[in-house]
Amino acid sequence: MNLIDRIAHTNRWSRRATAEKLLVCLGGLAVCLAGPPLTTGPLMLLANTLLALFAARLPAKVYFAVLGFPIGFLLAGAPMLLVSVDFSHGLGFGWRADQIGVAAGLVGRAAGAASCLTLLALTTPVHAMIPTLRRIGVPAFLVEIMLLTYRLIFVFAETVARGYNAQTARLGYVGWKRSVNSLGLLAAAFFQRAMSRAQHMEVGLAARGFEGNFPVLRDDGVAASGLRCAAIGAGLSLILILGFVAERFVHV
Amino acid sequence: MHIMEGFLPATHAIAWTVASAPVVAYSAWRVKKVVEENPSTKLLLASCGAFAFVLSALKLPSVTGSCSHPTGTGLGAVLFGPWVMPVMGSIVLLFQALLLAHGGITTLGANTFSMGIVGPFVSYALYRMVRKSGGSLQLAVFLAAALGDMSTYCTTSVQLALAFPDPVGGVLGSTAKFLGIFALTQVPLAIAEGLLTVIVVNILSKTSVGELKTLNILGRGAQA
Repeated sequence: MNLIDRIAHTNRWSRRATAEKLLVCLGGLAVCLAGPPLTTGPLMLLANTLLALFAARLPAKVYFAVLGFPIGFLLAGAPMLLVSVDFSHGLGFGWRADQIGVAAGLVGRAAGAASCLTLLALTTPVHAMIPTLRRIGVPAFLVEIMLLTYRLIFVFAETVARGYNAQTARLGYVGWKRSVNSLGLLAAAFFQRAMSRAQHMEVGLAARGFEGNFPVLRDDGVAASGLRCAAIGAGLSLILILGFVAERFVHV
Repeated sequence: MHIMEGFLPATHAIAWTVASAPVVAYSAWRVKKVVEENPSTKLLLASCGAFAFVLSALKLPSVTGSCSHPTGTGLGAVLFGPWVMPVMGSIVLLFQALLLAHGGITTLGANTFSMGIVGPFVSYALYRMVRKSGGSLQLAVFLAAALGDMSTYCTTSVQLALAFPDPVGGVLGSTAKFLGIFALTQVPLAIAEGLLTVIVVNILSKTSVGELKTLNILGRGAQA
């Protein structure tokens, strides 16, 4: 978690306009879902990988590690679609080679989509994305809660990591029974910390005349350029068209 | 039980988003009323959201494009009541997608449906039923957390089955298939989460009576 956030703050794209990055990644997701999955997905994966490694200059190791996690599940899970279960004559299992197209399409689409999410997560800090939710109609109080949640996550993660280390040092995670017990203790103690943290913040804010809103300075960074947005749109359309064209030549 | 990014085809991704949206919107409206009456609950909600996120970041791998870990939905539903969960659940799920690349944006609707709506409501209903019929707090919490988990896992299996019906057995066959595959990881996990939640609630009901009372402003949660 810390790693993804750190890279999101320190890559070559971190200071780029959030709207442009959202367009690349959310637009990419839309293209992945709209185009023929078997061809559009891999094209999107290729395009996003090139962008990640050569434009945003993300460390290859981190990019592939973050992307590899969902793709590993995907490769483990997709073959399950080839197994057929049928109840018409009792319980029957079958191997369906004709489903290979469906499974391959799923791998293509999900791999392409996962690369979009990975690119977004690694190039764009979350606090830059949350304010844009206001523009799509998410109410202000929810956006404030989200911003606060985001800030608290890191404080809490440190608390939990320390507690976990302390418990491990006292052999708290040797064996299943102890582990469940330790985790329960940790969660309960952490819950109390979280609650008292909220109360402390409440007192602190009340002392500063808190009336219910958190106006925060928003760093808009660089404004989105119309030209670049048009170029992104053209690139996405190109991938979609290439996906449809390539589909004519690919048969599974 | 997150469905990964891009796993569902477009029609299914949209349909599950449309199915979740009204519930999340109603939940947001209820949260808004609470926040307007008492602005400091914003801090409380943010704390709870961050708490849920950090706990749920502990994950165990499973097969078939999904992933298993303590969901915390049972604990949340028992502590806060079920109506806070759809909106807080979708916030936590969004953060999991953006900070952990876990779950996804196109599958946010489907995941909110199983983890933010079905799980919490099943948990809460069970908790109330057991408590009303005279069961102990521990039993009620265990069943709420364990079976809340199971209901989430069944919902996810049905979601996957509807998207990938079996060519011979249809949706029923593929539901059985996904239930069977996930049972390997989900059944032990549900029991573990049930036990874990009992331990947490046991400690909290001894040491944090004040905090639990504060939480009752969010909804009708547990009376320790």
